[in-house]
Amino acid sequence: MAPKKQARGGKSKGTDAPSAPRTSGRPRKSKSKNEDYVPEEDEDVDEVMVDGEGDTPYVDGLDTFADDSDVSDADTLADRWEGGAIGDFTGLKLKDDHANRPLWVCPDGHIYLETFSPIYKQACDFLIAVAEPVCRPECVHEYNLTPHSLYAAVSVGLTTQTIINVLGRLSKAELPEEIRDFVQKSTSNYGKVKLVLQRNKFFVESPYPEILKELLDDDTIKGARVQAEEDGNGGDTFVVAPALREAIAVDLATDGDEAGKDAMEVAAPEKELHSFEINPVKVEHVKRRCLPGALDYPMLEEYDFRNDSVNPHLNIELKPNVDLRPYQDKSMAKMFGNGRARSGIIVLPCGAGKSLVGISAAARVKKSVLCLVTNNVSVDQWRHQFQLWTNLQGHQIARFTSDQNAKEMFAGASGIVITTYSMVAYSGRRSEESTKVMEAIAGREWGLLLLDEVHVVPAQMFRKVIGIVKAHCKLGLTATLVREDELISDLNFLIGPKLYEANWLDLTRAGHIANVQCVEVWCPMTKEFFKEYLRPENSAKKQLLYVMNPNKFMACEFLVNYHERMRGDKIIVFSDNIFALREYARRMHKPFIYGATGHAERTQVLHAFKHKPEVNTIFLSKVGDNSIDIPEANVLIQVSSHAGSRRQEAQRLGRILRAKPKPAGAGSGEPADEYNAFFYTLVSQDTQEMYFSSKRQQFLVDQGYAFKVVTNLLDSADTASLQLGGRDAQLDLLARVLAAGEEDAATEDLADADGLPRQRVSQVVARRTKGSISTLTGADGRTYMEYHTGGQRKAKPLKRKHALFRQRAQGLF
Amino acid sequence: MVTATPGELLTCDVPTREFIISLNASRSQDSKFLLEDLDDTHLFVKKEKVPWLREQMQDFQSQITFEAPRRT
Repeated sequence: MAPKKQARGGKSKGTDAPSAPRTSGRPRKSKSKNEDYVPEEDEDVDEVMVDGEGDTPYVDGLDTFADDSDVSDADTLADRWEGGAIGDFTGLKLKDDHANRPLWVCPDGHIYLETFSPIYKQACDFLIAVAEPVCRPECVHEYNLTPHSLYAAVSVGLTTQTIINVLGRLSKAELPEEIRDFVQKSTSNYGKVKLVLQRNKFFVESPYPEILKELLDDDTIKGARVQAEEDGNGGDTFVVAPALREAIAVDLATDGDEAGKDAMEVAAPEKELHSFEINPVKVEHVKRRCLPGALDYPMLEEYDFRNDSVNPHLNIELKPNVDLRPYQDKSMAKMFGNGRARSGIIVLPCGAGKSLVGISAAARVKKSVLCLVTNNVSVDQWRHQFQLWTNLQGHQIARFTSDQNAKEMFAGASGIVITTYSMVAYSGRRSEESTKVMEAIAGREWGLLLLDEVHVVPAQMFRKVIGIVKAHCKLGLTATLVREDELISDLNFLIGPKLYEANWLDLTRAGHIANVQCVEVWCPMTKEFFKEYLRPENSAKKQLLYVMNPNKFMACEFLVNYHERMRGDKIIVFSDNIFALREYARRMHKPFIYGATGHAERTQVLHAFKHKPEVNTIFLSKVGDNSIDIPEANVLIQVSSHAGSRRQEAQRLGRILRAKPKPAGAGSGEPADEYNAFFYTLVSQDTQEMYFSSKRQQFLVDQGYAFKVVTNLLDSADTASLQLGGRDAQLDLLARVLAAGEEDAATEDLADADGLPRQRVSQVVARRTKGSISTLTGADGRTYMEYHTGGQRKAKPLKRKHALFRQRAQGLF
Repeated sequence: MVTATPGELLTCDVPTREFIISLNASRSQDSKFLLEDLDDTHLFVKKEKVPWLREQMQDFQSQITFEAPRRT
């Protein structure tokens, strides 16, 4: 590939590797790495190009040499490091006993951790707290120091000096100056500004009025300020609050580890706390302006729930038999480190017990909790979980969904409300009960706001919930902190820093989640299908063609038969494309569920899958991604997927990550690396699917899963026995695929959680019929009937009708 | 009278053959390069087009290959 990139000349070097540092010297050492080579302005280029790979474009490119084109908001250490070529750290001095130390700390902010070192565990815990994990495969982990991760570190109580000392101790080489400076600079401004919620109003407070003045110079913050009463001074005065001083004194007494230099200044008892009020809707903007990268005074947001006497207490306790696993304990410790509750995000793999983490946080805070989830099925699941793990009664947990029967508020002063993001963010007209409940939700102060699947929050529609709901403490839970647009870093100011992220491989080794074997099966396209795929007039049907590839179908059938018969596993097959879903399921005689499947049928199919031994395989579309809880599946086969969504891939893997009991008939003493769950992705070779598949796997690869590629799955199979083995059957299928309509070719259109552009084929949005107003009211014999278009439907209990009307009732329904 | 046309014999696998045939079909009449379609794995093309064909194949492959961007 190298010759191709060189031909584009020097200018493109800047854009090829956007983080390439401005070189100030030593380019010769990187001569061998031509891809990232950037010539210095006064250097004699011809001399360097003697190795014979010279193309004249280099000389032309010198003047047009581009600077780092994209400087992100928080400019990272890598951008500022000018040490020379990428990856060249020969300047670092190794310590004598470097073999005993586990870390390589590089001047550009990357940290590499050896997992085979004896102090791996402690080093890993520390690094998770201060740095962002980039890639964590089996032998060497990679982390990155960023301003956000240091802000998270300081918010859990680590001081600047501690961070530098521990890094220095664990590092194999002397800690580079750049790192020291970077850590100091990033953490110096922390803790000076605080965001407080009192009596349903938001205040920005600080002991340093100069800092507040500086903040108010900024337009966004000035615009967000609410002037209390009309003063003569034009709003320059701050509200000085002596009452909060005790809080600070208590602060000093309770946390010894936060007694760094900053805390000492803050705690001097003569200091007063100055504050000004801000508009609740603008809180998000104010917080964003204060982040590193803008004004660089990251706001401290802690909730002192023990001393909060304003909000009513909720008597919630975890049941005595509840045992938290070590990683759940750790995440709780990060959140409640110093006796107060911090807002932030906890990232745990699917199936590792996130709900329990949320519930134990609620049990510690002991105030009213508002729980936001993605869909109605999850609402029920969370309610069930609350009742399972705590001593709460049914009347204390209220659900608020679009379902007719579930628009309640809890009786009593405090309780739990579980609702969906869409319900709270809905800006249209609501029914009367909904309005009442919404007013109750928006009008009170919540102790804890639990956000499930928090990666959906940055989406335009859902971010509003942060402004609508006033909560002291916000906890976001997710397994996949990725999005395909760039909005994921917005969570830093929407909710808070990332408090804890678990290591998937570690959890697997400890047996908390299943040991999954990930396999990518390459299925070659058949001659006829590939021919149609390449034709330009079939471009809308490309996806359909590569999904309906007969070789892929045969591979799927082979895998299903193998796992069902040989291992007795429960199998789920995913397909985003509905046409494919139905074809596959019908030909293999298996039940399937997609968006339009009715509620009753869904429960029937799922019940059969969970409990009956005859139904071992089901086919699911996108609905299966988050809304259905299926603990006992062992095998997942992915036949078609949604563009390059990494989140979807990880969430699907989560379906089978719940820890598995030993399969019946496996000998006693299952060895540690025996796989008990399988994840197959079927990919058609030579098509776009290869690209999307690699892209989707990135997240899982970063967590440590290695995808095994199998190219010869069907070599040992008897193709004649599989359904589409014969050429005639294949041609017949091809004809059907080509005849399929436009809407079949697109994937199912559910709400997109990712930020990927929708692959929408022209859809009919409105339907026109001719008629008159009197038709609607029954004049033409037509009647007006209200019906639900999907969602949950409870079976209506049969009402006893009066004799006169009984026949009529039967006739209509 | 025997007519002889010079060209190059290509041996390839089935998908590549389909790809080359589709490339040929999308060209205008005077720039068609496929001289003879021999069987499932052999083609006979004009000699000077062979390097260009290789380039086209490279392009096609690179479009469907995902390279993870270097992270900062």
